[in-house]
Amino acid sequence: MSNLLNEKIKNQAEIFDTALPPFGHFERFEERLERHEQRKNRHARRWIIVTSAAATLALILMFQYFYPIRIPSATTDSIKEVTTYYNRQLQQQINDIEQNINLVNEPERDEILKDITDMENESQKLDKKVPGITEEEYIAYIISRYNMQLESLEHIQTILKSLPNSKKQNL
Amino acid sequence: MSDYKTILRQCQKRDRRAQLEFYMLFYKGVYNSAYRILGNPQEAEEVMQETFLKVFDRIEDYDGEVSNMERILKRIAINHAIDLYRKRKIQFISLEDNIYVTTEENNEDETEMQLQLIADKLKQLPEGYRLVLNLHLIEGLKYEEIAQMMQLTPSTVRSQFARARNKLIGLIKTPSPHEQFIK
Repeated sequence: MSNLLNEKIKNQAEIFDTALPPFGHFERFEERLERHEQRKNRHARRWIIVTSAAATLALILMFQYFYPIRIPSATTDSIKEVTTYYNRQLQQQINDIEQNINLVNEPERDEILKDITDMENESQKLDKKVPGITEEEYIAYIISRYNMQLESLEHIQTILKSLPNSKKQNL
Repeated sequence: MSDYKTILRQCQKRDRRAQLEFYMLFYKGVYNSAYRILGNPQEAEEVMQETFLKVFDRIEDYDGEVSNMERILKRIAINHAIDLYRKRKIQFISLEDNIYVTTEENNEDETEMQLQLIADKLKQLPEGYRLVLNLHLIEGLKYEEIAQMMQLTPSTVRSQFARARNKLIGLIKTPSPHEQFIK
């Protein structure tokens, strides 16, 4: 009986397709199909926008890689501004000293001139940024160096200013 | 009404009218495949609609004969329906006991057996039995395929099928009180 039953059902399986979907199924499917297609179109549009944006960005990055836009270096400018300012001050002090340098005897004069030359050499090297430290750190460093040099020059000036009086007195 | 190949070609061009004609061509079989598994008209309709939308999304991949398409649609619907069925967490195995089991030496004189009667008795079977009988006998799936869908072993499906079939035969041979009264 089992095999007979199997055969009967298998051979006429479509007879069992008797159920019908609930009333209005066609209209519901039509609406759902409409919504589905709209959603798919929205996704497709979004996909196009996203891929276009990504492609544009990639193009910009590639262009930037091959033809980099040279933005003026703020770092170099800032350091240059500082060194120019301090060099001007140094030069003014040096000029003042050189006006009075003849007041001291020769060995001291040579020594002072040597110190001044060393300072000038050092200050010329300061406008080149040292790699490995930030711009702010380097500016702070060169300011401290210039201040030390200016203090030394002021000290020399003070000595020189005091000298003529003693020399005059001696004379 | 256009022939199937024309409908398919138009569907591939996203022609709405053709898509609806395609639906009308196959909806009954797809709905019944889902309904036999789920036993719920709303859920079966949901599965049927999902099946058609899935196929429309990839309609370019399909070609061939009506029977092939019907098979594909039914298979998608069955897979979807079984997923839903499993989500309900109904224990497939829990239907082993308290069944009326007939033996193979039953009388072979079954010529008067009516398919309508079989269909009615199928509906009276417990859910797990009905499912395995539907999938194997009506949908034509192999034990291995059913096992894979249900996440069971083929031997479990085979024994479940044997029990289900015996239960069905038992039901057919034992008329309900209502049927006895009519006689």
